[in-house]
Amino acid sequence: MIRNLTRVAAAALLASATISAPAMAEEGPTDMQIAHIAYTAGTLDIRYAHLALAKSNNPEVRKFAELMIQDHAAVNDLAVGLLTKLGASPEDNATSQQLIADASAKLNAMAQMQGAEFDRAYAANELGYHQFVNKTVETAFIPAVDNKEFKDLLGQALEIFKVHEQHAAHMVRVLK
Amino acid sequence: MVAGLWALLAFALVSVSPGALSAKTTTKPQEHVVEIHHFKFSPATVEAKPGDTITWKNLDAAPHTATAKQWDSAKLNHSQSWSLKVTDKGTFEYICTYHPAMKGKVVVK
Repeated sequence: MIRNLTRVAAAALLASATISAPAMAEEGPTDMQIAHIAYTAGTLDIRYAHLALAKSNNPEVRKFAELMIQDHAAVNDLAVGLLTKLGASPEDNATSQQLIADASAKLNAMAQMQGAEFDRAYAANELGYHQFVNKTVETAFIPAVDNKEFKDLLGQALEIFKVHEQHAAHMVRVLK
Repeated sequence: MVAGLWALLAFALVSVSPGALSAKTTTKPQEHVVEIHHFKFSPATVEAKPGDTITWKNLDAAPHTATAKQWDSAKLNHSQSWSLKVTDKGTFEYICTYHPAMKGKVVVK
């Protein structure tokens, strides 16, 4: 039952974010698939941040990008540490692949932008990305995860990502 | 009679000494701990005396700092800690430079 609810919730969220629903496994994601998706999402945000540091001269944008690199790397390091301790490996899956494909398209599009146009696009993307990831983690992933330590780690990560979401919302307002 | 007075004086000194010892104990430098958790410094305000030591422990997954104009912990990763021995009296407001909404205060008096 929980798996079904998770599958429906995750599929709906993913569809709303233009990520195809079939990417989610029929029975809902396993812990190790969720670990892979979460790690991938963090890595992708780091890639967005590196692009921002390469293209933007706006202090607010650069500060945010540096924070994203630092915080997402810290969370991913903790995840790797936990998985090592558990002797488990994240499992690649269609949702992770779809996230990567979507991000590649966005990165390519943003790489063509300059100046304030880029800054606004980066800020808007960060807000939307964190809103999407946070909702997915909170309503679909955390309830579905079986391993308590992994569930706790996702809870800590969510706390950080919600701070990022607020920060991104502020950045969007400032750059309008 | 004199011997009796000496004995009385000795007794008085012995009975005073525990109080003197406890007075010394209160001036001994204290250790204070500030936990960094859920994007907050806890306690948010530390009252200390010159010579006391304050230790910040980061329990969050995200790195933080405890940074005032006068001192800086630099980056504290998860489970790392940093100690500061306070020497000067005053009120020292500090923040996490990565998350400036996080604020704390050290009052040394």
